[in-house]
Amino acid sequence: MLCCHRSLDRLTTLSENETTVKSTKVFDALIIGSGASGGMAAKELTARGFEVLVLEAGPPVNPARDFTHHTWPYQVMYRGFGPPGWKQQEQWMQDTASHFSRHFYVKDSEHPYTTDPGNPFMWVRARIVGGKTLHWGRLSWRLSDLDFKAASHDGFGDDWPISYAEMAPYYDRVEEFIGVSGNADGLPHVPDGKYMPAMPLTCGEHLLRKGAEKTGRRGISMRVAMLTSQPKSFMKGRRKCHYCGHCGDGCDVNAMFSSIASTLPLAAATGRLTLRPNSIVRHIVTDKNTGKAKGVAFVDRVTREEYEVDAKVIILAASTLESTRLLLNSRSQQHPQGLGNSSGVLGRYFVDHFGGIGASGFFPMLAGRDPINEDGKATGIFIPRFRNLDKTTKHPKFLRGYGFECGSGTSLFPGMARRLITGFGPDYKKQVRRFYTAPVGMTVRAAMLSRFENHVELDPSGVVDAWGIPVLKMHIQYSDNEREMAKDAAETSEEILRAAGAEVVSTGGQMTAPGRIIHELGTARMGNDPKTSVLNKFNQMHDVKNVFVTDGASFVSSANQNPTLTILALTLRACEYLTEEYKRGEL
Amino acid sequence: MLRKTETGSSQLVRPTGNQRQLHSIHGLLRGRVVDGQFEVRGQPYRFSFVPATAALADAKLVLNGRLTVHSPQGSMRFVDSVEARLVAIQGGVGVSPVRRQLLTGTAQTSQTATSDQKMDQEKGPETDLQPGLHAFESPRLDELGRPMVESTGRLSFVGVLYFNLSALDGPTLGVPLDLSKVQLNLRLATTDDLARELQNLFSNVTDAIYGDPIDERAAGESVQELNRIFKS
Repeated sequence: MLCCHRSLDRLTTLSENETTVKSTKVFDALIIGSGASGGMAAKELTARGFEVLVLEAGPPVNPARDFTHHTWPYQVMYRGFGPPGWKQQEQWMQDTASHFSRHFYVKDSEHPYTTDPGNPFMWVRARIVGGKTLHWGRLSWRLSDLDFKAASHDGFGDDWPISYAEMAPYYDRVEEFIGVSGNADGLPHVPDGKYMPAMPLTCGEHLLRKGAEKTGRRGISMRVAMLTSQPKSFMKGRRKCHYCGHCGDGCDVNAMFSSIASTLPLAAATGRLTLRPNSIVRHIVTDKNTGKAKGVAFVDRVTREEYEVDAKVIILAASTLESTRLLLNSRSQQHPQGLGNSSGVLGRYFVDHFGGIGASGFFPMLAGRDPINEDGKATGIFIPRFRNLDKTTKHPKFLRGYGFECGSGTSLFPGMARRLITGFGPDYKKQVRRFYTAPVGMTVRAAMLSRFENHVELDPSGVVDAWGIPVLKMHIQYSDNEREMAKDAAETSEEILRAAGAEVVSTGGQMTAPGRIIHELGTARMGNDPKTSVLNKFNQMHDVKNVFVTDGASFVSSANQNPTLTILALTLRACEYLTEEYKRGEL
Repeated sequence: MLRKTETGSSQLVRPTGNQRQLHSIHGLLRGRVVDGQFEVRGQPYRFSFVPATAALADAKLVLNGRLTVHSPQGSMRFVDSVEARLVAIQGGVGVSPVRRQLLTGTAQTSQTATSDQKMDQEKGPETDLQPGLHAFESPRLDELGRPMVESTGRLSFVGVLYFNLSALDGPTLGVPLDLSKVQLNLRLATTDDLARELQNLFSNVTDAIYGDPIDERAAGESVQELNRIFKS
């Protein structure tokens, strides 16, 4: 059960063999999950002297075996598509899993959840050491006070209990640590940070940027957590991106930030980290007298043996919905509605982003040119939010806003040829060659309003997973606000594309089902009032002071930016606070 | 540096028990047969459940049929009159195999459906390396001209049915575990016409029995049709 990544050589790992000795250790901190938040918490707390146990529900990862990013489709059976039906049979909700990366994701056959008919939710889950950081989208945007104080801005919902000024120093530190490439663009609603050089735009992306400007919008380089210059001294084992473009299949030069490349190795180097993979936590164990958490009960994923382990502080970083599921499953006499749920808000204010709306086509002026080696640039151009920034940009039919993720340039076949070009035979091949260098597309990333009625609960009919642990039932639907936003985004994307001089092939689309964008957030939100929130402004549970939730569950609202950078910054901040409280004996 | 709370101990976790119960089994609908496999201590057991009847009881769908288990050693045992009571569902996302979109199109054969499905599954519109480099779905608009949400409302279909099986006896079926409370997860990833027809009926039943109000008449009609297929 060893973790085999070369950077994790010094990691202490546990196996089922270590169950024969007599007494039990009490860890200073126990972290559930080894993804973005769990890894950051492990790094921070071990650096501060904590003896830390990380329990990861999934298996260890072995980059030499598990990363396939330099494998060509023609090197494998079925050209990389996998045997017919594999995904529908075992991993039907793991949208981003390809046959190359399927082992990074859970098998839906073992991990049920339920919904009402007609209102599905797509839950993409990575149970593996490193979690979703092994294949995440890497887009790293800061939130601004337009987001943290959104309720004050437009009157809907609640503000976060923190401001951008409080978060900015943590964003700075996270960006410098993980390595983010991008530009300082001077847009107050997507604040600038500490960046490595941005990846250059392609010709088509320059054209699109100019088109956006013609319509009064900005087009900026995407800010991505990938190294574009020499790694800093603490980035041991990481290299500059070499633009192979298969980041989702695992990056074996560690150019993209991941837990296994960045945070966990540093935590391991302290000698104070113990990581146990294949450990599925059932519930948090509380002390009957104090009501405080004293450890967790977990089951070994493989052997199915049951264990308990003790710790002074518990940090939930299992991902938004897994953390909330765990809290709901941690009912006890003192916490009858679930741990930390005296407010009744646990599971509530469930939000996501939506996509699926946009426009695509070709730039005629780029068609037929000689191809250049640009298809490995795993990023593109972003058109940041332009609605409801102030009075002059107020939209009459919806609150908040959206941005467009856009791209242009060559991509590995079938890429754009799959659907933008139809036909067969010699004529089809000719068309593919002609337009190979010319495709352009844009797709929306939009905010969803946080509403009480969108929630998760333990499935009331008692459905369990393969280990007998009660599962979630999802209740989430878009409101008129999101639908109006989608309509506006469909119209605007076409307008921008035409302004850029593109020949528009398709527009519109369908709003993605909740979950497909993999930005599920909320359900254990932070706030100043314990009656309306689960966590305080430091991600600490109001009800149980020695429990912290540091992942996306703590979000008050979704904004429209990708959330991981904020999750990392919140985790860093929470760990700093936790340390001080621990030293003062307050936990 | 924080003080280590305890030293000199190499046991870090306490064992509290072993697996005694089989919690759930996962199967796929092939024709009218649910086929699947589960593991006990690393050993694979194949199973099949063949429903013989369908009924409604307390507004819940109840299937009744034969459960067969094949042991790793090759022996086969079965139990008749196993009851499977539907307790919950998971809505599907993506391309519905046959339901409303394809039912009327005689030219849209099963091959067409599964091909589309496959393309969508491999690299969905939101997962392309360079965003947006794909054709967007033809807009489907609501009554106010706004884009609809994929796989919802009239575009929806059921993806998984979760049943509670009646209590089973492990030794009778040759399984060395407590089978008194087993959940059957029936994944509807259909690849044949009969299974597609059943998926359509299951979608209709779940719409009816989970609707508000419950549409007992519609549910009854679909159950009748299920029985016709099970008996044919």
